[in-house]
Amino acid sequence: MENNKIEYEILRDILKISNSTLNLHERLNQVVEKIVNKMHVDAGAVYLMKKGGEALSLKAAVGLNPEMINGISLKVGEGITGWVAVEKTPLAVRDIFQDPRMKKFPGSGEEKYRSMISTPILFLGKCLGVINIWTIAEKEFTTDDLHLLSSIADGIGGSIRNAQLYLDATEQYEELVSLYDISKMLSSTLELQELIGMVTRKSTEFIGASGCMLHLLDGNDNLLKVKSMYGLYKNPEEISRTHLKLGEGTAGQVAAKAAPMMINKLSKDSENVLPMERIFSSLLCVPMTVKERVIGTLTLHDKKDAFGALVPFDKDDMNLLMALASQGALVLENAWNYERAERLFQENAQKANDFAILYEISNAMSTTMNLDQLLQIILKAVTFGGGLNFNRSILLLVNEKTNTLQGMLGVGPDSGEDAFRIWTEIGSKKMSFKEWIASVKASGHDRTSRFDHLAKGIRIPIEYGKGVLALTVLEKRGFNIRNAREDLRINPEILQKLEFESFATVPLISQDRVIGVIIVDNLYNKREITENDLRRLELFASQAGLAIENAKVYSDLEMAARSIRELQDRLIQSEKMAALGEMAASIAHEIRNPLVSIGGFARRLDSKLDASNPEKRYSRIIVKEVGRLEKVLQEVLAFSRSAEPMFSECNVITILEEALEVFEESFSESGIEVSRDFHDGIPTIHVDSNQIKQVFINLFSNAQHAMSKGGRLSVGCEYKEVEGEVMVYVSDTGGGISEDVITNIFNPFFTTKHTGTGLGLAITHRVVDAHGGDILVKNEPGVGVTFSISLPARQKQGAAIQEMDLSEARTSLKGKEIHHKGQEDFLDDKVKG
Amino acid sequence: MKTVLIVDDEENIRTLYKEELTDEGYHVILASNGYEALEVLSVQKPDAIILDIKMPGMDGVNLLKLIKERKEDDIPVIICSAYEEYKQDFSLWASEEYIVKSSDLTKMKSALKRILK
Repeated sequence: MENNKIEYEILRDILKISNSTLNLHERLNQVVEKIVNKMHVDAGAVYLMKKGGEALSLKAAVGLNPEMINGISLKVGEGITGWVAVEKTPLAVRDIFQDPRMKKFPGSGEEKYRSMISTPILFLGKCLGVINIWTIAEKEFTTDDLHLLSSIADGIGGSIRNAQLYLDATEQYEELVSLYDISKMLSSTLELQELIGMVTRKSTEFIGASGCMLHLLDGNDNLLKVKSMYGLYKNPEEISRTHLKLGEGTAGQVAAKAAPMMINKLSKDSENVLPMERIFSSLLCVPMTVKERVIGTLTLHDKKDAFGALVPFDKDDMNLLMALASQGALVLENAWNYERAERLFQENAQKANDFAILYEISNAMSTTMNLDQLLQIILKAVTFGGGLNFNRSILLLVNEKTNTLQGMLGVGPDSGEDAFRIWTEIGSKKMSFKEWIASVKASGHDRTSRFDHLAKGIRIPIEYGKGVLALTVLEKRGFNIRNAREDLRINPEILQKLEFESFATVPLISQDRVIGVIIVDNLYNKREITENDLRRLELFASQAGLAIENAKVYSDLEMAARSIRELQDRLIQSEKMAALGEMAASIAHEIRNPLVSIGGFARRLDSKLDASNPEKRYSRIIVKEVGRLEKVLQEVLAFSRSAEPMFSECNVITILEEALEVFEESFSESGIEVSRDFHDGIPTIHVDSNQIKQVFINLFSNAQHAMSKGGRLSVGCEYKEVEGEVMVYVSDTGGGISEDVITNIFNPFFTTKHTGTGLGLAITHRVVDAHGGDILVKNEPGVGVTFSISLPARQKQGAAIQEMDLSEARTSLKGKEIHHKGQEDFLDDKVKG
Repeated sequence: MKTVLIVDDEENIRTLYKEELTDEGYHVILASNGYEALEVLSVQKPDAIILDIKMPGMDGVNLLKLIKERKEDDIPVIICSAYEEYKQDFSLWASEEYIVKSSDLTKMKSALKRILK
């Protein structure tokens, strides 16, 4: 009874240990410990048969030198243990040293024991190993002891067998994994299929069934699907078509409960069995689990013995199949992990490829600072097959002044045929991205497409309610529009024009500011725009945004630089002009003296010649032409001097009278009547009297020219106290100026006269301007012209300097101030704008 | 008969002035620069002087200064120059008139007439 109880306890514990998840070595250790404890002996050991069945190896021991584990190798038939392995019968030895079969293993720790029991571990008639127990004191073991140890040996036999199979399978698995590693380049899915096939084949062969099928649980729809069949199935198509829910059929129940199922009396009436399975007489189904998660099932049908007769499945079969299933599950898991790893690798490779393309694009973008060319490159990159691969693309930029989105460029075929042609062309050329960018830069703009034309016409206010493009700017994010026609956010006008069906937008961002938007679609090949596409597009857009901003800054800089250059040119020009003016003045002076002689003597000649003398005509011509030359000289000198006014306190009326005096004779000759309207109390003004006189002379000269057949010249002067201005009016009755002429009257060298330089009114304008005054023309066609000149009564600058009587210093200083101020304003405008 | 001293470095101009003013009934003396003019002035006193400004040797400006310093000789001076721009300055210099040279001598003649009334 006592022994029975111990036996029961030990067997129960050993069964527990055997079914645990521990590896074989640990399991055997625990078993040995259990035996030594429960049977009250001093030592215990388990030897396992090596492959080939020719030797035993110490695998677990209590009370022996632990270093001997895996170190002692016994030939079958050698020593007491070897004898037991050969005879397959348990043996109790009272005094080891007296036993002729005894063989010493120095250092094993065995030598101190005197009595022992050695029991073979048998499985299906084969010796898998030997269990020994020892006592130090001499002991007569009972048959009960022998029986107990034999029972234990029987009990762990299956477990050891499973474990060995497991070990074998592990070895094979490792082999497979290395095979798998080698062949992973070829096809991982094929490999996985082969693995599964191997599991079903091995299972069938090991247990001797008619067939085996492997279901895997599909994580997406939670259905069990047949992944592999081995053996003779009459209806493989039907089987593979039948997907099982959890709980449905044997496989479904096994998977749901994660517990094996064995039916040895299948009939047509069996419950919970699929009809197609009822043709078999027996089945064994076990779950395939990885880390307690069911991934599928393994089912064997119709076990047959060596002679082909149907035999029932038993517990050993179940254990074996479970071992195979768990093994298979591990292999599958591994394969899946590998597949996942490979998928990750591929995704990473895709990312790496994305980055490579982006890098190339950004390189390409950095090759140009020309905004137009840059936009071309950007959109080509978006539509290039090796790039982002969209069919069509539009780039819009934000116009901050008008707060609108403005279409800049559209790239894409106009029609399906066009698309096909372009793609075949590109395909046949097999250009790399770099070559292709080079060709973009070389060819400049494409021929203008209708699409580009339409794209350039887009103007969208950046406000809510103005469509998805405005939203892209306002919300700083992209949109993926699957059905443009039904999406209320879409601006219908654009939709119609550009035939968008589904498209995506992405903002171009630079320094946290949306500077534009890219729209893409796949109108021609209808490829769906995926999240991955968008992600790549966004990545690209951030690059493009920066590049555009750079190009803009560059073009602004270039413009500023150009402005500075222009300004510099103008300064140089004005210096040149000043130098030219000086030269003109000195030449004019040199010319003046000979002109006086020529003209003077011509006049003398003329006065001495009688009117009837034909030479009189010649002398008149000389006198007239010299007069003309002298007038030209006067104007040129006035023009060259006008840059530097010399100010003094003057009375305007005096200047007016002086100017009128010049024309006194000629006015009366031409029959021009002069009327004066000079108000009282007109203050002196601070002007260059010579220049102002020149102004009046020019105006009178024009009036005289306009009234060559007589008329009235009205000259007025008044003081406008509020404005602090002295006003001078000069009116003629010469019939006015024609409209096409009046716009040009202040242009230098424009003249309607047959004589004169045309500089007159230009000088007038310049002088009045330099005095801070204003000149207005009132033209009454058919009547006459009135010029109104306003001059400030007080010059606004230089009051203190004025007292120092350094008129030249002052004027040149003032001139410089004007230049400087002008320069700053100009730069400011350019840089800001 | 009134005597007029003409000071100008241009011979043709001197000739022109002389012939014109002689025709007008003046007695004309010529000098081609300031020094010559001073020599003339040391021996006789003309009724008026017609003076050019830009001349080699002593120019019109210096001559005018010397003439005005000699208070006993209150001879009126008419400046007749190719330069317009000194006109303002010379009005301060107590010259009677500043005339910009021209082939038309009407202005000079009328100025002389006015001064020597």
